Amino acid sequence: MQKTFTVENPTGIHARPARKIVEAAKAFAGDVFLEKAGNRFSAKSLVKVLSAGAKQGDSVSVVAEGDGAEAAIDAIGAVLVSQESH
Amino acid sequence: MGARLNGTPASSGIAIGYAKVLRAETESSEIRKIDPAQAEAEASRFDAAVASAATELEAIRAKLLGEGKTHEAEIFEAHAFLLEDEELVGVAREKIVAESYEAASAIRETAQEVAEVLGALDDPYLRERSADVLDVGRRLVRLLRGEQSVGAKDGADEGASSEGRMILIAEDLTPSETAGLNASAVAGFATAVGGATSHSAIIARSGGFPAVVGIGAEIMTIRDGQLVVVDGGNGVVLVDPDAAVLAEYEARREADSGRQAAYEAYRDRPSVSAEGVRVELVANIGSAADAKGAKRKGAEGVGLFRTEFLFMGRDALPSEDEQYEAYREVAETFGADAPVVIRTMDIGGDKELPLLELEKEDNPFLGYRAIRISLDRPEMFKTQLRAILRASAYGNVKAMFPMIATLREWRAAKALLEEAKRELSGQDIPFNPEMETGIMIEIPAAAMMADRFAREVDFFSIGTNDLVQYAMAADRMNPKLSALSDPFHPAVLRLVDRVIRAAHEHGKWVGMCGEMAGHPLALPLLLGMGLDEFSMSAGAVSRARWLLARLHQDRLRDLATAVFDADDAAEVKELVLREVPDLREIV
Repeated sequence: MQKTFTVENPTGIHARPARKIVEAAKAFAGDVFLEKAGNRFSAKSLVKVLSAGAKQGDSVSVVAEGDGAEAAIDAIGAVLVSQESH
Repeated sequence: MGARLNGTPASSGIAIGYAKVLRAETESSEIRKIDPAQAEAEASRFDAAVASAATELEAIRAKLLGEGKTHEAEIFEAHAFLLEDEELVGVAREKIVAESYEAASAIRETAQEVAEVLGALDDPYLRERSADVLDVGRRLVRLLRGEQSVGAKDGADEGASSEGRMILIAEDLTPSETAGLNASAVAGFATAVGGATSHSAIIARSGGFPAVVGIGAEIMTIRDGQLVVVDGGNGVVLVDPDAAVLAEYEARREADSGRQAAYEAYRDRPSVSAEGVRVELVANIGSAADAKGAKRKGAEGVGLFRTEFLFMGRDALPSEDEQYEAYREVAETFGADAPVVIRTMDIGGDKELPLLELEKEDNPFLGYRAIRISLDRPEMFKTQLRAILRASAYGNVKAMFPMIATLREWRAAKALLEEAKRELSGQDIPFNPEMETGIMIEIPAAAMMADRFAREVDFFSIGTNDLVQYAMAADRMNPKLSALSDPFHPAVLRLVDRVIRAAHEHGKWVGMCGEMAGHPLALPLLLGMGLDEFSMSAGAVSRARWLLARLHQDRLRDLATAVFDADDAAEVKELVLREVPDLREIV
């Protein structure tokens, strides 16, 4: 399954939110991906999440399958739409 | 004959010293291979280096945390996180096992590959994260070679001669190198690359090292031992300046360092003027986390809690409980007696909330925003009011309504507050029935009617950012109009004075929560006018308290009236400087 979110953080998905995304993804057993503009990035790698270069206003889909996928997607989505800075 | 180089201001202050040029070790891109039979052993050696690096990073993090530098500590927490990253450490390990790379070659190549990907992003902030990846890579290479850590290598043995401290000149400094700088040996630094948001710049700011970054390759023409001035605030580096210029910078440096220490000393003192008049110096905050930082920086309470940040960037409105928890946390941070003014949500203007499905407007700042929305959505508004009331049981919480233009709006908002109180009483939920309730004065109409409002409210807080924009008809987002968007215009000062007088005539207190409240030139004027509470960004509190202790309210009353007859903002500032000449040094 997948859900699409709009990045709300004014400075984009920088180090801190990226870390929160990876933490949320690692809590899930299966694969989790971010998709942005047709490109796919593993949500379990900080490097990959940063490479997505998601900025405020960007549309990002979170993709995961299996047990607990929805919870993982929602947890990551919450970070994507969070405004918290630093 | 000196040279002048320009770069990006990274950390303000003046540093003067002799250049110490760090040439990056020529990192061989040569890939060394090992005997495939040794691959497993090499991988174990690599794993051990990763573990040591984690230990080092944890030690640096703990040290920074101990110094209260939470933001800097997080940088190294992120580095520790990279140590667990499959794309970095996992890929490097794979090169050792599958391709018989020597461990150092494997991690160096992988870090460079990852850094290249990040470096190609179009966002400057993310681009700079490539420096963090390279830093982690270098740490591992160093550990694999069995070398000491940068942090452990104290600069005390080099450079700290009688000649004074040194200025580091480098292509770039990694965050680790910057955090490891020894203040007794290093006065400041200048680099060829980097931006103001690089982690090195952040660490330089928190460590108080003046720094200029992004100067370009020119900087590497500086030679060891040349006299260098780093003017971090202006992004200027001078090489071998002549005697007169040097003397000027030395004087500025002395003044700077003395001042910072002097401000710091006022962090925990009471906020009193020279003759003992007590005012409140409080902070503007947007979250419970801000409150903790503000308290550390010496704020004695909160003059403006912008609650709209609780509402923004989410799929559903925050529940009463969620809001209550946030408000209570702020109240408890400051303790039972410290004032905490919670402003009901100010959505609209430049702050959008898609959830409310508001229509696009041609003039959002003159449009449907703040209390105008709240009054149309009484259930949403009452949820917030109940949350604020519940928090009032835990501290000196006050409620404030934004964008009030008319008495009718104030009375409608107050009626909903009374309704919320009745509901809570009916449910036996505790709150402070005497909770003070006031309004923002940011619309000229309210300023003109302040005498009428003052009979009914408990307090005013003057929001100068919007008051200036509405009084001068100058969009504060438009840089072409910045000369008009100046709170020192006599027209604005007359409005401010009118509001203060109206409040005092009715025995009410009045604060200010715009940027003006923390401006050193405004403090003498506002004190002379009799303002009771100054709410500013937390970082400005110590300086304001230091300045306050040097001002006599009695002697400023005439100045506070004289400025009404000035022609414009520039003349007002000139008048203030003439009255308080010491201010010239700090503005």
